Amino acid sequence: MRRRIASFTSLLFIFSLLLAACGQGGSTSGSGNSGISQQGLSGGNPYINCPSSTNTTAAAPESGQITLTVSGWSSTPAEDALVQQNLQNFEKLHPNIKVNWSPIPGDYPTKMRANVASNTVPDVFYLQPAMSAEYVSSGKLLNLSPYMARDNVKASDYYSTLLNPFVCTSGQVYGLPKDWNSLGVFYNKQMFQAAGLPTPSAGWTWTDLQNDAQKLTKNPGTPHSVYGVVLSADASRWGAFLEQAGGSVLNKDGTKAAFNSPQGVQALEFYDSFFKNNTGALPTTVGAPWNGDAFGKQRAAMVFEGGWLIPYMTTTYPNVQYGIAPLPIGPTGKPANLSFTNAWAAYSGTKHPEAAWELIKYMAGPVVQESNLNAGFALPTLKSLANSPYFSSHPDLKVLFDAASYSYADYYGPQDTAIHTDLSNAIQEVLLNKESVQTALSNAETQVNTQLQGG
Amino acid sequence: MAQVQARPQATAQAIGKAPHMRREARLNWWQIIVYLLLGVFTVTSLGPLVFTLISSFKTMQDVLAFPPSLLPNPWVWTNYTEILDNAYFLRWILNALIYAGGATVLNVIFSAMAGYALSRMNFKGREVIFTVTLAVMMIPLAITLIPKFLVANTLHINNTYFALILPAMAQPFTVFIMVQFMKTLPKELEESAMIDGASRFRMFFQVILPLVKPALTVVAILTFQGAWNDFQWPLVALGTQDMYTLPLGLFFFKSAHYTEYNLLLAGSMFNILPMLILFFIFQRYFMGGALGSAVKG
Amino acid sequence: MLSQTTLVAQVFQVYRWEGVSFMAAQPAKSSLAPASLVGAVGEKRARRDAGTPSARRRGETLTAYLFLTPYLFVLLVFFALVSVYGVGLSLFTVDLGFTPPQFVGLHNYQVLFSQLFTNPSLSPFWISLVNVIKFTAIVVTGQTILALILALLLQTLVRGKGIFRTAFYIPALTSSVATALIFLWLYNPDGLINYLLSLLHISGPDWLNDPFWALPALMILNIWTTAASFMIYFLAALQDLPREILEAAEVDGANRFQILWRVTIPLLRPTIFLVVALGTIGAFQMFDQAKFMTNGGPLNSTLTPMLEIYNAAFNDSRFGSAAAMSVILFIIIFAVTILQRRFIDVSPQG
Repeated sequence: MRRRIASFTSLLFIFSLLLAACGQGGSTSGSGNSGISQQGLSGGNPYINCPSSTNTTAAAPESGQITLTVSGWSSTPAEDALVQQNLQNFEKLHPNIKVNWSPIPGDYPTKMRANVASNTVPDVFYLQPAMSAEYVSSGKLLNLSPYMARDNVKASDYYSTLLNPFVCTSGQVYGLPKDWNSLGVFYNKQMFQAAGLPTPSAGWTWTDLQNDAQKLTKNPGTPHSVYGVVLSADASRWGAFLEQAGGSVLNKDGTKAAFNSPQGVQALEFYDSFFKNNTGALPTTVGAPWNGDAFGKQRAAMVFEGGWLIPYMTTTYPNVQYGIAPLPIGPTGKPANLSFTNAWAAYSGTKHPEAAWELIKYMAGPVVQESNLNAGFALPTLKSLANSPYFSSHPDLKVLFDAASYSYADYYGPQDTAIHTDLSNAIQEVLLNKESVQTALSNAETQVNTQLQGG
Repeated sequence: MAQVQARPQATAQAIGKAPHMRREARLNWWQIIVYLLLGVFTVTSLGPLVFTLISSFKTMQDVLAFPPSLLPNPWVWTNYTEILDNAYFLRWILNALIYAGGATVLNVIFSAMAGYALSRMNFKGREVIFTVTLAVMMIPLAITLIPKFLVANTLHINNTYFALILPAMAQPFTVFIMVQFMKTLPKELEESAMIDGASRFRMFFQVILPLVKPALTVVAILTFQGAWNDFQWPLVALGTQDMYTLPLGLFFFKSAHYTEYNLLLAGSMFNILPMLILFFIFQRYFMGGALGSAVKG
Repeated sequence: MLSQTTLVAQVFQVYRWEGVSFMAAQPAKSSLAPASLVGAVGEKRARRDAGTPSARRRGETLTAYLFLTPYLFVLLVFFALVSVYGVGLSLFTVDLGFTPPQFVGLHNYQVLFSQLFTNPSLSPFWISLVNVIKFTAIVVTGQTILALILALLLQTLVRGKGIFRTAFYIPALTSSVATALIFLWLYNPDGLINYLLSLLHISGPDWLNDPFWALPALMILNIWTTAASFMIYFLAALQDLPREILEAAEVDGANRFQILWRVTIPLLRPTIFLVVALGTIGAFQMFDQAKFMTNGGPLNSTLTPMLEIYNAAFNDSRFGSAAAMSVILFIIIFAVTILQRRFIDVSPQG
């Protein structure tokens, strides 16, 4: 799961066609091209152009022996075993379909791109949001909406924030989210106890966070320092605070940067306040490569990370007692968070589209998602699993899951990676005291707008 | 080539006795300073590598200890065992050996062949080919990296050994070395063989090749070193972990293991040691070889 | 691989232009005569042979090309074709497999240059050029001076030359990745380098995470790796200095420093040019450490053009733009090398 974060904050990004005045911003639900019945996401995704031609009907089921090549990645051997188990269960349910699972280690998007270039694309594969715009707009993916309509799989079954990155302007669905993650506040129980502070809980605010950080910081600037928070200069963390302040990264149709606003300034000043007050530091300051490691080394009382930190703590720092709380509430009074997800998608040129759909339907369906949840691997993307029994025994995960209804996808269209990089650089400049908040945001705005215009 | 080197040394010896002796008596204190400075630089040259070797036997905590410890405490072999347990690690070494070995063997043969043709045969197009050889040597990697990738893609050899070995199996620079070296051999050699009715191939393999052994050794070493340490082209041309060469594997090893320095230090030793061994065996050729003599004349 | 071979090759090409044999790395003629004599004689004979019946020549041609076939394949496909392709690619928008390539003429160049004139500090490519110019200037100066000093010191030794030479050369053998890995560890805020500095009561910075110190850290690393290789060139050249001139200077009463400055170094100018040119061409194309150790950060302070080209091509799939950047980089390297030849080298008339 940590991979997903690595991929979002890494340098992977797609260069695609200019956003034309394609979509009218999505009107009614369901109706796609020329009135043919499809199941889509109402509101569409203004960031992603629909392909010029795509399938609008569902292919008929095939008989006879079919082999599907399936590709993705696995962060751990245990995760890999689970995927294979689920694929085998699918084979039992569909005796005429054989599945070849061939995960790609290393740089997934680059290898997939090489596959596209050499025309050796797997039938079914994982789709990262950063890959989404390029693949969707160039028509490389199978349009799933006709199949969803045929089999009564509704777009509304899934949380819209999670489905959104895989949908194009007119609402056609090209990938079904298989799992996701959000950010939570990981807090060190012992430190809170020792300081006599109540642990963070739902409804706590930005001010509470700042006060707690103040009281929990000890010996800042020394080799034995412990900071209230350890933060990284990462747009995939700060973005949550931007949303909490009521701002957003891009404007509604994704044509201009929108973060250089009073809300953006407020959010960045808040993020920087920990550094200015010496109650927060970068992970490298405390000798850790990332926030999670700083938390494990107990040099941080709190960090903002996602569910991927849980297995890391269990394997590397099992003795630290911690809890997970929702992110604090900002000036708007409404909670906000970021969501990170990946989807199952199919190649538009697959010889077995119907079988590919069956596989996607199963792997992104309730049975597999519940089994993944029960194995502690991932959060489900289906609304129907919101009250799954697993959550009652794992309240920490529930905290993360609850953010589904108020999360924003950490995804910004074809220039996604460039936008992340520009924002992260701006944040870093501010945290390192190289620029003022206004200048940094203004510079980043210029850069992002240039990239959005295809420069 | 042997002829050429002898003369300056002879001259020096003939002239240099007196001043040399003068120097010795006068500059003892100077020599001490020199040895000291050189000693310091030796420490900075070898220090990091020696320290790495020693530290590859430390545990993770020990590696990151501050202040850094000199000797491992405790001394562990686990870094090496863990690395070798990695399914891909030995494969990476094998891939690097195939690449370096294949490229070396082929490049030695093909460069010699091409060098022979260009230096000792007269034929239409010889000057053109030689000029093109010199011209392409000048072009920086920058411009060729991506087109090479695209060409390899078109030939469908990406992520195969072919992608690594084909571009390296005959290199302009080594051809150039062979040309210059072979030019110095007397023409008479072939004249007599031709009178005896030998074919060009026979002449090449039986007469010329044995005489250019030093140059061949240099070409072999340069090719092997280049291929063994090559990072950028494999990074671009290879896609799946099972095809990576060792430098590339170490790179991905780093992110996969949250920078477990102890393992990575051990891993880098596998990269360094073979070159060191090769170096000590062929030391003479490494530094006294074509590079040095080519510069001197 | 290519970096080392290409590097040494550059200068030979440079010498070839003047029509001078590559062996003329130094102005003194003494050691040249035998080699060029053999070559000249060989050439004359070859020309005489050329008058033989065309049948024999045609047979020669066939044989020659048989010898040349493997090399010609590589030369044409992976060097010549690829270079032309590279320049041509810069005139297109290419993303390899998703959309068909589009001819855009000089658009890629226009975009880059308009960034230069409106807002260069926000353009990764121009930032990377500034970085690499800083890097090259300091690294080349540092390693040339260091190499020269080491060679001069080593030259004065009676014994132990070989051992020191071997010891110094060892860092040059290690692969860039292994070296980068080792220094990544050494440059840790709590690592060996800062520890040694602390012994001198200097508090070392967080080298690789500080936007100010990251590039200097890489500079030091590069000087460390390559100084000794260039020392070899100087050693070879020093050994071949004409004794007569040095003797004459001593007899005239010049002291050590005067001899060094007025006689030795001017005599070494061709070798200095060799080392500076090779160093420059190599430094301008620095990639491995930037990619492996810092990935261009922090805040793009270690972003080099090669890394930006790589990112544009393989992360953004902007192959056309990447090719345009390559062409610009090539032109700059070319121009700098020509300038260096003009100012440092001696024209080989003597």
